[in-house]
Amino acid sequence: LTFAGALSYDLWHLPVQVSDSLGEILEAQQSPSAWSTFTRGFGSSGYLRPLRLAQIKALFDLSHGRYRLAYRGFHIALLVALFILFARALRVGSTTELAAASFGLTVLVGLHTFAGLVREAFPINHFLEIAVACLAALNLAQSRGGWHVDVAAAVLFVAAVLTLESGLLVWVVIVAARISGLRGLSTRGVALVSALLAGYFVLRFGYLATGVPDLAERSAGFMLERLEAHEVQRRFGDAPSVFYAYNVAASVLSVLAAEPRDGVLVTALAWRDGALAPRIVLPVAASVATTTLIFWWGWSAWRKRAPLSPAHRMAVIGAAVLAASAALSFAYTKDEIMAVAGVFYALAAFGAACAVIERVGSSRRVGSALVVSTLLLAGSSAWALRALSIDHRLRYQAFRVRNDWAEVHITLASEDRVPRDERGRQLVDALRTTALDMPVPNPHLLPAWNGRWFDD
Amino acid sequence: VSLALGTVAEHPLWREEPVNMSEAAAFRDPARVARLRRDGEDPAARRLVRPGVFAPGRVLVTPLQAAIASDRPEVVGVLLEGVEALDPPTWRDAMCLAGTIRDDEVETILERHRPGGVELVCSGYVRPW
Repeated sequence: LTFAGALSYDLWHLPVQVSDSLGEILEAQQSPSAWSTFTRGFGSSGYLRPLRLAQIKALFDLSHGRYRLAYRGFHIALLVALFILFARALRVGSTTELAAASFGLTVLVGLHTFAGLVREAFPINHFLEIAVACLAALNLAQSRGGWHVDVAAAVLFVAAVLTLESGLLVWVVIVAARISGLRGLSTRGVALVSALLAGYFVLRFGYLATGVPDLAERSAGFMLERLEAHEVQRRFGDAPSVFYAYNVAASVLSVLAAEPRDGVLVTALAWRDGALAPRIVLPVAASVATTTLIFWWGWSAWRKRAPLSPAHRMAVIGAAVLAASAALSFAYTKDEIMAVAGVFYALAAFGAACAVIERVGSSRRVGSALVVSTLLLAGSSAWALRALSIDHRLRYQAFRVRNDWAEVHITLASEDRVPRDERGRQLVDALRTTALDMPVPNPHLLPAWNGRWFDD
Repeated sequence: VSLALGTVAEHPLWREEPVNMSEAAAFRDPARVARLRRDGEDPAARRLVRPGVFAPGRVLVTPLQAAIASDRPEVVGVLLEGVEALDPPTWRDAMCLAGTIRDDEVETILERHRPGGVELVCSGYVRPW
C-alpha cells in the first residue's frame, strides 16, 4: 500500500497526455454510446481491440466533464489492484517471506518494464489492465476453486483479449498454472478458456479477417539504432525472420538483463559514445545479479527433484509468460509488451530471495553468511535506486505532458487536426486548462546528478 | 514521508519552484509561460533571470528574449500564440538575438510574425547581457 500510495500520488499529478490520448477522447465524445464504439471495433484491420475504445468511451460518459478524475482515477485504481493482487499472490506467512516480499515489490517497481504501466495512458493504460488481468488469473489459479472461479477466468480472458492482443497472456497464465500444479481452475475451466482462445482465433483470422500488423507499420529498435518503419521494410522486407528472431531474443533479454531497451542495446551505445552513467549500468548489474539468483534457485530445486513450492510454481508460470510475451513481440519489441513478464519476474525474484535468506539464516559459517548478506544488501540497494527512478521519470513525464498541452493549439493547427465542432474545441480547452493548472516541478531546475542516476 | 507531507502540505518532490515568466521561458517551461500569460501577466515586460542562466549575474530580459536565448522554439511559439505581428523594434531585436543563436526554427516562427514593411538590420545589435 505504501508503494501504491506513493505511485498513486505521482499518477494523480500527471496530466492526461496529448499524444495517443486526445484523439481517443475526442473520438469518445463523438461516439453515440460505448456499445456503438465496441461494435465498430470489430471492423478495424491489423488489430482486434473493440473493448479498448469502448472503455475510453464508457469512462468519458461517466466522467461528466471531470476527465482527470475519470482517467487518472481509473489508472490509480488499476495500479492499486496490481499491488494488491501481487502481494496476495505472494502469500506471505513468515518474516523471511515478508523480507523477500519487500524485495519482490522493489523489483516490481524498479524493473524498467514497470515504467510502461504508469508513464503513459491512452488515456487508459491497457498494458496495466493486462498485467492486472494476468495477476487476477494467477490469484484465481491459487484459489480453492469452484464454478465461479472458472467463470471469472473465462470473463477475464474475454475482456483482456478484446482489449489488447497481450490479453492472450491470461490464457498462458491459466494453462501454465494448471501444468505447474495449481488447481484453482478446474480442468473444465481451463478447457473453457482454451475454447474461448480458439474462438478468438477463428473470429480474428477467419470470420473478421483482421490479420496482423504489417512489418512497415512501426519504427523499431535494432542493435545500436532505432529504425524508422520504412527502414525496417527496406532492410528486412525480404527476410523478416531475422528481424522477428532478433525481436524475440531482445524481448527475453530485456526482462532478464535489462538490455536491450525497446530493442536498442543502450549500454553498448553509451559505452561506444563514452556516455556510460550509473542510470545505464546499475539496471544491468541489478538485473543480471537477480536473474543469476533466480536461475540458481531454480537449478537447486531441479537437482533435488523436490515437489514444486508455491514460489517455484509462480516462477514456472513466469517462464511461460516470458516466452509468450517475447513471441507476441515478434513484429516489434517494446518494453511495455514485456511489462507482464516483468511482473512475473518480480514474483520469481521473491521466491529466489526467500531461498537465499533461508540459506543465510540457517548457515553456520559466519564468513559466507556475511558475504552473502552484504551482496544481498548491495543488490536490494541497487533495486531500491531503480525503484526511485520511477518517481523521477513520472515527474519528468508530467513536465513533458503539461508542455504538450501548452502547445496543443499550435500542434493541432499545424497537423490540421483542430476539432471541427465547438464541443470538440471546448473539450480541448478544458483538458488544456486542467493540465496547465497542475503543479509540476521543472526538471531543468534539478541538480545535474539526477540525470546521471535516473532515467527520464 | 514524502507522501504524508504531500497529503497535508506540499510534496517535497512535486514542489513547483516560483519563477517569473522570463525564467519560465529560460527554463524551457512553455506550460508555465502559458499559465502566467493566461493569468494576465504582461508577456512583453522585462524581468530578472537568476544568475548562472545567461550570465554569471542576474539578467533583465523579456520572456521572448529568454526563450530565444535558451533556443526553445516551442516556448517562442507559445509566447506568440494569437499574436498577428510583433511591433518592429521587438521583432528586429528578436530576429537579431535569434541570429546569434543560429536556430532556423526560431527564425522561421519569428518570420511568421514579421510586421509589414520592416527590413531586418542587425548591424550594431548588442545582446541584453
